[in-house]
Amino acid sequence: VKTRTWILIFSGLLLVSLAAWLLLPKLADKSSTVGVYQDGKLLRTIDLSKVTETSTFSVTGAAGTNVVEASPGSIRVIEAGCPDKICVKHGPLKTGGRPIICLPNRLVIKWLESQDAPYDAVAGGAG
Amino acid sequence: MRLKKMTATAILTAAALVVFVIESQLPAFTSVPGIKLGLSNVFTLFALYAVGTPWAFALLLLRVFLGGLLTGQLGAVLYSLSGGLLAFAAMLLFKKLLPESQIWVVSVFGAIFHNLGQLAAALAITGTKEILWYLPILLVSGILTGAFTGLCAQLVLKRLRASRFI
Repeated sequence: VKTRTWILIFSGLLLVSLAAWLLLPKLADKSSTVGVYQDGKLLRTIDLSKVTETSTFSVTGAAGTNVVEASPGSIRVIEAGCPDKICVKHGPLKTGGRPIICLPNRLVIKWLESQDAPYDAVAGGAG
Repeated sequence: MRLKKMTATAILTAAALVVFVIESQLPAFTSVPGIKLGLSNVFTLFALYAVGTPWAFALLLLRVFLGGLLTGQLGAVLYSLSGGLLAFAAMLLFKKLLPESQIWVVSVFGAIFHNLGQLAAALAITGTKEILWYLPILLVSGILTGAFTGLCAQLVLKRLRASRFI
């Protein structure tokens, strides 16, 4: 296969992937409930539409402590013990599929579909 | 001959580790988990072509484990290893199919499979299928970083062969 053909193949794949990255989140369901998971276990669920004031809680794992801030309609990680702090750079959890992920601490914050969310999800809760 | 190859592998491993440690200290330039330039792959590729398959494999394993120890991120070894092994298998396959003027293509496939392996490990560890939302951007980064590191290895190899150094 000629080098030019490879360049075309990879450019095509690049464009398709880029389009998927930009467009796919628009297809995701809208939800207001988030789940905070560590090691695949659900630690807590928060209905962001019912949060009235900003509160924080921390989650500790192998790579230190993550501080999560829940505020009305929004949730984000504000501090992380790991070196790369990718979860902090992620900013608030946006609508669309992409979860906040801290791989070193195996922490995931993602939207829950309405059917997996408990009916009376407690907002905030004790940290 | 064996001694020569062992010495070459040791030097390449040391160089790969230095590059790996320096790269790990740079702040992440994206908010996407798993995206990095992966410069140490230049050494794995170079060893694959200039020293030999088993030596390149030894370099990869040493780099993953010693790199985890040196950066103090042993938790990352699992992601690194699953990505590294899958990438190595892909690069071996495409090395057989492609000429030396297309090492960068071999490297792109390596980088794509590295990212797939990492994603699979993250999927298994966190049990969160939503991680797959990151697949498209990991393909984009794999193509770009793979082409870059592959081109580095390819150009160095070409010049060293031309000057009869290897």
